Amino acid sequence: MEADTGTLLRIRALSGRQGYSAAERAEIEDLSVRLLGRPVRDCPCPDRWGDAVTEMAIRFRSQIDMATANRYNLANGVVLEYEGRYYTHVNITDEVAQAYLEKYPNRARLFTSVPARTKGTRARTKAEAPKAEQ
Amino acid sequence: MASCDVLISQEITRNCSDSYLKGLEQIGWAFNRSEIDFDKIEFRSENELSALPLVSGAKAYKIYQAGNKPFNGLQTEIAAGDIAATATNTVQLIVLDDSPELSAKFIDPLMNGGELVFVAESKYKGLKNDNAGGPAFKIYGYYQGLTIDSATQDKYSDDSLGGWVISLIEENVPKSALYLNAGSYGATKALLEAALTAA
Repeated sequence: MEADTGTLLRIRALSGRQGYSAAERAEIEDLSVRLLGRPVRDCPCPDRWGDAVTEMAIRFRSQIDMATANRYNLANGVVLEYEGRYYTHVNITDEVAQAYLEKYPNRARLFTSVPARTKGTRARTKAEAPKAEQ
Repeated sequence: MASCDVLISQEITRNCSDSYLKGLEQIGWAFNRSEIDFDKIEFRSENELSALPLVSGAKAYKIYQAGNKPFNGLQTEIAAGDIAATATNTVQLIVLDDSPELSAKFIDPLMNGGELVFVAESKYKGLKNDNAGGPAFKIYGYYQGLTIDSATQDKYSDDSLGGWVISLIEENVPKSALYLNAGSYGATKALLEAALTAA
């Protein structure tokens, strides 16, 4: 079964956590039905939402790895300020990351991965490179 | 200022633009020190980090303290040494829980030698200072790691309501204090909130 990139990234964001809000539990219920074909198990056990997320993360691990390998991944524990807004690994988009790194290319070290150069692009010459200092 | 400077360069005066406050907020953040990505560490100033980057898959853990004196017992003590004075940081946690999960996932790893980095939020934010928000978030355990010094579980303790009192210690610290400051109070708070989710 295939899942879209947004869903895969959402599973990854929900993974490894303890405790979910009511909205997140509803989201996990929906994901479980769509991706696992069944609802989250019905028991008083507090870990059942985490278990459901773990099962989805395992089942879709290779797809999640491919989805995250081809995007900008900001390291956890870092916040960027760009055009008046704060961005962490939770809310940064590829568009913001790309624009930020075009302006501050020396900040690439704060990312755990950036996409490979896409087809049709070429490396910038030194003259074209934006100023490096933030 | 370099880390070996021996000349003071600041007055001690009263800051009349902001009120001093004692105490800490009820929420702190714990990190496994082995999951800090030191390669990405950047110092904003001699005693400030601009971020606490973590290795892939790592996250912070929220530490909640009930009561009107959260993290009571958290302190820094400086003592003279042969070469230079060093600091000892102590972080005390009152854990009302007593469960298999707490033992397996928090206490036993510390007993086995785990080291923590802990970020506490002061009630004093310093929002009117030139370095607004600079004093708000303080880091313990960055240099030597916070390790378990003692832990007591007393089923009749009024302090812990039958839970645990855990004391963490970091010794031989070369700095009086280390702060987390991502540029503003809001930025640093956003960093810590997001750190609770693994990347």
